[in-house]
Amino acid sequence: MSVLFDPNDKKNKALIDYFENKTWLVVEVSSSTRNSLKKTIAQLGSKMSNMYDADNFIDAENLLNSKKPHFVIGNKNINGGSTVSLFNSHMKAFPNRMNSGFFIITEENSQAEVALALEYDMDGIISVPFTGFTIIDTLISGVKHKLTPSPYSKKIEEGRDRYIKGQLDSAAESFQTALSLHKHPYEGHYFLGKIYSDNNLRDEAIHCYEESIYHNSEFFKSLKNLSSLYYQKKDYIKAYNTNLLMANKYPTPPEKIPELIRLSIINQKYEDIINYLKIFHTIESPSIEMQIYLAAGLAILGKYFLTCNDSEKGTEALKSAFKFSNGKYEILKSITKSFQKFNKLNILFDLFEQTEISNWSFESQALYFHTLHLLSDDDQKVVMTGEKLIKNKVRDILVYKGLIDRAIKMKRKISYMESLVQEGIKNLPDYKDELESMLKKIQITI
Amino acid sequence: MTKLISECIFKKSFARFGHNVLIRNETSHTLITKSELISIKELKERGVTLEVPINVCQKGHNLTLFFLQLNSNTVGVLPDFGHFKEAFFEAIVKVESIEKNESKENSVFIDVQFTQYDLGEWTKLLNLYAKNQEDINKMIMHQHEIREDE
Repeated sequence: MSVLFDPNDKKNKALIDYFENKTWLVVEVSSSTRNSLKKTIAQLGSKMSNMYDADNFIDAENLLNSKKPHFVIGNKNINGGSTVSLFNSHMKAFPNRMNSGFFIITEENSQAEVALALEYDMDGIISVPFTGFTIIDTLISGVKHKLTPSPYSKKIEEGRDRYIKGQLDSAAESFQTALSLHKHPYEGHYFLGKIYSDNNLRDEAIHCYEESIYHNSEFFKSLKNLSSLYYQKKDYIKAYNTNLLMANKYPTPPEKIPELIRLSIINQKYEDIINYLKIFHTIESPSIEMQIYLAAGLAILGKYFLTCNDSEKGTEALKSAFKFSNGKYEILKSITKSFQKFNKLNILFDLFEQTEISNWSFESQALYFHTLHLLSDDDQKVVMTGEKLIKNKVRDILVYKGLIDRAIKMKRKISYMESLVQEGIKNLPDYKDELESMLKKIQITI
Repeated sequence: MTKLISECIFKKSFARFGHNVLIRNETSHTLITKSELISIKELKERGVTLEVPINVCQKGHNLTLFFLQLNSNTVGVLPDFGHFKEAFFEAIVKVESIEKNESKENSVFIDVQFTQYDLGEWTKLLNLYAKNQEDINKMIMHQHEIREDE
């Protein structure tokens, strides 16, 4: 932990000089917190008069474009958007990052948020609740390599500047030159890999990223891009191993879970698969965002286990996936398909009946209707559920088909079915032919 | 190095760090026992900034803050007075300011100043958060250490 920062200490002079004329954009909803941040930044040498405030996304964006502050420090979630969305604009305004920086304050207090800083190449991520010490420590940590940059670092920033401005040939020259300026020029190789990748030269890009990793096996961006290219190339063993390197060193963002599970399945890492199922159940108080990714992962696991005839594990995984889905349509659809394929719709039906789904999207509720229609003898309930969805203009052909099927079974009037078809054509014009053909068959039969 | 992705991805990734807070308003004699409604925004030398529901308190009110571990079982009812055994740290505070939270309905930010607290325990807590931030900073910057060794 850092001791109290002393601006008068000679060893801090380089920092004070660095920050002296820097301008700041401070983005945070609470004015009290903004003031705390500004006072803390002022300790590092920046002037309060060089700090601009915003408490919402629109103002922050306007200030970024008009004032072009060297540094941005902001809460990830603000009124009207996310401060993260400002990163690319800031990068365009300051493509050479030697005299600029971007710091995010995050309220998600797990280390998985670190992935955000790593993905975007931000200078630091500050966890809430913060203290004066944690702000100063993070700002210093993010800029200390910028105080007296080496010839290598200057060349890399020159290259990055040209790359962001779209001057790819001259950027490549800068990065190529950088390779001879450091014993381990991993960033130089990384950026050359990026340029090849942007030009769809995949094998050349892979070679550069591999060189980068050879020099620095911990460099996140090369590891990430390499794993992605290996996956595209269907080199799943290398994709798995690269992801393994990353997982050993860095926290895994929840959105990677489904991809990692697929890799484990493809690579037949059965121990992984069993582990995932065990571990998912032990995660304490996952956030809603995490729950959705866990659900996606569990849906993949469930389908896998059912395919391998492990009914117990498959059902367990799919039930957990349902529980964590928070009504997310794509996940529920995947779960429904798996249960239906393996003749276990009755389990899904029970899950629906035990869940309060009225807050779900109508598309997700349509999946309940679909299950209800296939299993239930209660015509009234099926029709009521379906008609409510039609009234809310749900875009799911199965709802219309299901209602028409029930109407035939219940011997409803042809005019009722005609109105269903008309409504279906209005809301789903792509299915016009199919719906009209259904109606013709009914008219012939009746 | 472990040989399975599943063995390492959950070690650090999804463990949440932090604490829960419960509030007893000593002035209005009300209790706020749903920790999910209270977020700690900033820890200061002698106080905190919290995000709380509106009408939890007014400026000038005296509160007792109870800090609990994230996984603590709060089945025990918060008492109307005295200590709460589930809490590892308690502080009596005064509400210095209240600010409406423009990004969330029915929510405010309150700045509170400690009037009675254990300095040693508070310092320990501040150090804990500083250590967590230090770990985050290391995770981000450690990959570049080789660049600094020329």
